[in-house]
Amino acid sequence: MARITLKNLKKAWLAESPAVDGINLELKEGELASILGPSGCGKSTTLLMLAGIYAPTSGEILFDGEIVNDVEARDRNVGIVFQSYALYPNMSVLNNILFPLRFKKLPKNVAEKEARNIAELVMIEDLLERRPSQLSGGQQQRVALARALVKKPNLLLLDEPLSNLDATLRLNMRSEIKRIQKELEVTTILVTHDQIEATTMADRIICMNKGKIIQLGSPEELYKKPVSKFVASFIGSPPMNLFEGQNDDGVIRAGALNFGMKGTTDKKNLICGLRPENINIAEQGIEGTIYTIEPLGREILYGLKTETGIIWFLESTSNAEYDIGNLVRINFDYQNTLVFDRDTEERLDSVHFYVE
Amino acid sequence: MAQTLNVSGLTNMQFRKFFKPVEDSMLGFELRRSFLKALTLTATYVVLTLVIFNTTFGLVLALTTTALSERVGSFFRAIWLLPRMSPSVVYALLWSWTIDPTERGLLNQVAINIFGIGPINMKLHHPMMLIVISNGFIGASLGMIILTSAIRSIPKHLFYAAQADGAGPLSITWHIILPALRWPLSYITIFQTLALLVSFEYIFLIMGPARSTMTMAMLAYTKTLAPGVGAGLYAYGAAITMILIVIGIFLALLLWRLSNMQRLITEPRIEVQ
Amino acid sequence: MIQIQSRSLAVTDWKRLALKAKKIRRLQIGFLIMFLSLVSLPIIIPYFWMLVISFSARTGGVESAVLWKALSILVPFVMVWILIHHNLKGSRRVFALTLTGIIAFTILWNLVGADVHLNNYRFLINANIVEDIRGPATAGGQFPWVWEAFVNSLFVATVSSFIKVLVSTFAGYYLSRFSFKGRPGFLQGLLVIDAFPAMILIIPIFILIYWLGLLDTLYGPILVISAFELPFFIFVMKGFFDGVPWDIEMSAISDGATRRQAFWYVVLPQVRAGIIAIGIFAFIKGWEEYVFVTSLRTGTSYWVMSTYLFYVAQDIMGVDYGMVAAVSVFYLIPSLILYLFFQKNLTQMTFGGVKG
Repeated sequence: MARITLKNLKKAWLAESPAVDGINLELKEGELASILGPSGCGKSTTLLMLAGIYAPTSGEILFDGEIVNDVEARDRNVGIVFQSYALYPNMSVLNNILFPLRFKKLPKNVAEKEARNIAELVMIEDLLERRPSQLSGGQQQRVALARALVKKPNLLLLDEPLSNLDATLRLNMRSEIKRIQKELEVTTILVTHDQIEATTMADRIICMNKGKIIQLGSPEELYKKPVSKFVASFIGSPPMNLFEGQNDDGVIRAGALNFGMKGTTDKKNLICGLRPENINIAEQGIEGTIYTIEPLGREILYGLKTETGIIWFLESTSNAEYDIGNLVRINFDYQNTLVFDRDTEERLDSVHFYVE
Repeated sequence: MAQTLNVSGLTNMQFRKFFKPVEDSMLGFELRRSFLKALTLTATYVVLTLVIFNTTFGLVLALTTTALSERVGSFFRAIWLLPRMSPSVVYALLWSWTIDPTERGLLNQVAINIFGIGPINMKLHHPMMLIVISNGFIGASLGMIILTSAIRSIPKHLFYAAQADGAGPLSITWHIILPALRWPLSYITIFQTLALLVSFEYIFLIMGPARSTMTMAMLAYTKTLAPGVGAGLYAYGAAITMILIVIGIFLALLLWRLSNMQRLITEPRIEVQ
Repeated sequence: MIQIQSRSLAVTDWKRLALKAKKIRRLQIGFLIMFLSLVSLPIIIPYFWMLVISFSARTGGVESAVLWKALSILVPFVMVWILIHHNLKGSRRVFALTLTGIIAFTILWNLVGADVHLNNYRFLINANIVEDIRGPATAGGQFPWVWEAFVNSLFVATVSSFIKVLVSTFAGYYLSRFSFKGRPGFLQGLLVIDAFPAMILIIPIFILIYWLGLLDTLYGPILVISAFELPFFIFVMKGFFDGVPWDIEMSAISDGATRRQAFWYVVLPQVRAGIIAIGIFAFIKGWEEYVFVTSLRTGTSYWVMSTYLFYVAQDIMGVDYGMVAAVSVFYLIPSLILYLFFQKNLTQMTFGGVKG
């Protein structure tokens, strides 16, 4: 269980813009961090550099304060689970799990005992004699996890481990992985493009885009105080309402609507952010007609056509239901609103807006 | 048309030329010595070429060139494909010059000046080695190509996982690559056995109608159509060919069983005509 | 709860591991390149030797001195070239490479330049080379000018590759995309026929061609090699067609195209690389054909490059190594050029699930 440090880590392939462009990061022992970002943001490249599969173009990777850039993958003692699980098709489940122990020169009975222990931990002790092709996706996932964990890795890397599972299994494995990780206290990095996975599982989220870290913090921080429009739109489901506004001496003009502004800024062009879950039906507020309806089970997502465009909001099913074309008013608490600079896309601290 | 064709000789007379009646043997027949020799030569030639070059060396080439960077690897693969892509007459000519028994031959220049051993006459003293190597240089490239793409089609993540699990290049070769090559290797083995069994082009071009390398296919060819020496004994040649055909059908059926038949005959999915 | 006792990890000496890894990596690559270079020498040197002889042999002898002189310059040159390529970058690399190139060429020219001449290639312009060598009034009349053989070879190669491409494209498409009665049986039969080498049937073919009256014409070998190599080419083309996604064709059909239009406008462009590959391969095969062109002629009714070279080497000027080498080089060049230019295409051919 190691402390992992990345210093100004870069990876560039010939004649392309760098895939990873100067990453600085420090992971505590036993922490579960998630690298979150859209596809092609450099998150998998970072992971493969940590595993020792790719060599960094520049920068340093440190395990417990020692540079390991030139250490071969096989010497790093890193466990890794891929989206495709990458189980060795010609070996039984038990041999798959035993494979990493082969190179540790353990006595055979000790190795087998450890393999059986870990199999019990991930609950596949009945499947040990089967071949990977005879297993379901979820079972293969557990085998891959066991294989990565059996060698007591310095670092556990999970590369989109849940993407190939169906919805219920995914929910199941999410909590399962978290439980195992906490039990073994292994430093873990989870790479994902799914913000729900990141927010539910990780202690800390590293939000990446275009090879750079955009924000690093707890799930709550990223949700409540995103540093930029990118993070704000990436975190949260359904995604945040974003609409353009013009700062006119303390009044934000968005389309034909006017909002009051809390706090001050000298920026002219703004973007207003408002999460659907923070909007309520109210007596007073923005007026609009219901445009679309998406039942989500416990809640309904409405699209409201207002004078500044469509605004999405969530309403509990237990409240009155509306039909398309109904005229409603919505309102919200100014503390839940976010304001961004339209040019830099950065969030303006302690600037909010409200319905006048 | 100077030549006349006489095919009426194709009777069991021709097959009797391979066997001679012997009272005390089990079936009452035993193989004649000349035919037995052709049979042994064929078997030696096919097995040696197949084992040393077409499979083993093809595998070595595939493994080593894929372990290097793409550019370097494909450079070496291009070199090894050169004999296959050269016209057979040119390739054979290169060989006969290389092994020229006088001191002008390339092999002898190397042997005399570097190793200090007297002129070697490959054609006379090591005919089997000569035809095995000259055919093997061509045969190895087919194995190389098929196995290279088989190695390439192994999912990258398997290699990554094995590396992270602590496997070195040798363990990866043994546990990840070789299991994936089982099917292509057996395919190459049978396919190449068939090809080697009847191949005589290079043997004829390099050795001529020499007795030391008169395999069954060579025998059939030289007795019938070979330029200069062909005697027009069509029936005799056809009788030998019949024996080769029986072996060939057996091997071809084996190959068919090994093929990925299920995928090959997958039914089409559009029914509009 | 299962207890996974943490193995007390001895403090890992990352520095030692990094050093070890670097050393091993260098050794590995060095060893592999050494090995491959050594085993490749027996192939490269004879080809190079042939080239040297064709440009330097005088009065029929073999110029081995030129070969070893040239090699003594070229081998170090290639090594230096590789070293520069690996250690320098950008304009310095270009400069260093040009410089070593010029130096090597200068030394080479001074060493062997005096021996280089084109006299061995005089067969290209002299229509009656036999008389030229053996004196007038020999049996030269039978032996043609090299261009006659060249044109014949070109004819055989072009026509046979045209037939193969045409038939295998249509047959490959039909077998890949249409279901008809007996399709599995047809495919199996094709596979067995393909595995079954054609040379085995050379005697019946000879008799057949004789009865057809095609003996001693170029059409005999063209027909025979086209027919016998077709199963292979059909399978290769079927492999390429199998690789075209069904969705493309289905959407073309739902867009209103007929099956035939879908084939022409949508599917065929997808397999262009395959058609090029089999076209080139078929051409090389036709160009080198020896067995059938010699077996299906009884006298000297036609000449192609392979028979031309065979008789040049065996009969007519067997001792004039210089000219034999020159003819070989002339014969080899078209195959070589095609191979080098289309190497990528050629190695993409797949056969019955196996690439080859």
